[in-house]
Amino acid sequence: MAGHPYLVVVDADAFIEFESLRGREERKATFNALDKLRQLGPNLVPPHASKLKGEPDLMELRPRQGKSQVRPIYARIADGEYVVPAFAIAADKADFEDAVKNARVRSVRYRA
Amino acid sequence: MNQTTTPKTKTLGTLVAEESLRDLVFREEWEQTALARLVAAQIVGYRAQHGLSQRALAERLGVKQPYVARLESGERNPEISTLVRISRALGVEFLIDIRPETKKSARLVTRTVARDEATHTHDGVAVVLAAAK
Repeated sequence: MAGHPYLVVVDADAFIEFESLRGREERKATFNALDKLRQLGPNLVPPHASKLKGEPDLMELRPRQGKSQVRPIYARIADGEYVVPAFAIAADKADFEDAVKNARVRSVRYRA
Repeated sequence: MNQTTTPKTKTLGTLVAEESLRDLVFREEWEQTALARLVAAQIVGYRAQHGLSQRALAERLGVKQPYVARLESGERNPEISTLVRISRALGVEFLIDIRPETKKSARLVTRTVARDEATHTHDGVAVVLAAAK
């Protein structure tokens, strides 16, 4: 079951990426996915989240169970705390790969 | 988190609050679907805890997989009859408390300590949604 809520923070650079996302429905779906992470933390399972191949410290949120093009990339930074270091906004492979690369670099900021 | 160069962040709560201030339609829709999100989290959490796919959970509930996917979307509030079905099949308890904002409900607060809870106010009315196993 959903346990006590978790802390979800968005990196300032990732927030700039999110601000480029237009359309209330897509933004709402993204907030909904982030809220699932807040409520469930490690119990958030597919199709709402999935591991990233070759990235042991990163996972992706899948708004609208993967039907949205948006992919918030997230990482666990402490017990009960998660950071979203990057967003993939566009529905293309290059944008997604850039987001993963950004997430990898930015998530280093949060290592204890 | 790195103590010497703490990165700038915003919490999800702050982001939702900012979005609500600049988009009143978003705010209204977000508040109105608080129950949907709470129920969705309960369903996803139950699946995670029991290692079930959406299809396997659908079988337990006596419904089809797309029905579970809809519940897990958190985009539409479920009917009371749906909550009854979930409670009966999964042993989940839902508490919904609707009252004037000025009145407190000590009973609900007492019962929902350390449980999932969503609270919002709507036109002077407090709505508290809680779920527990």
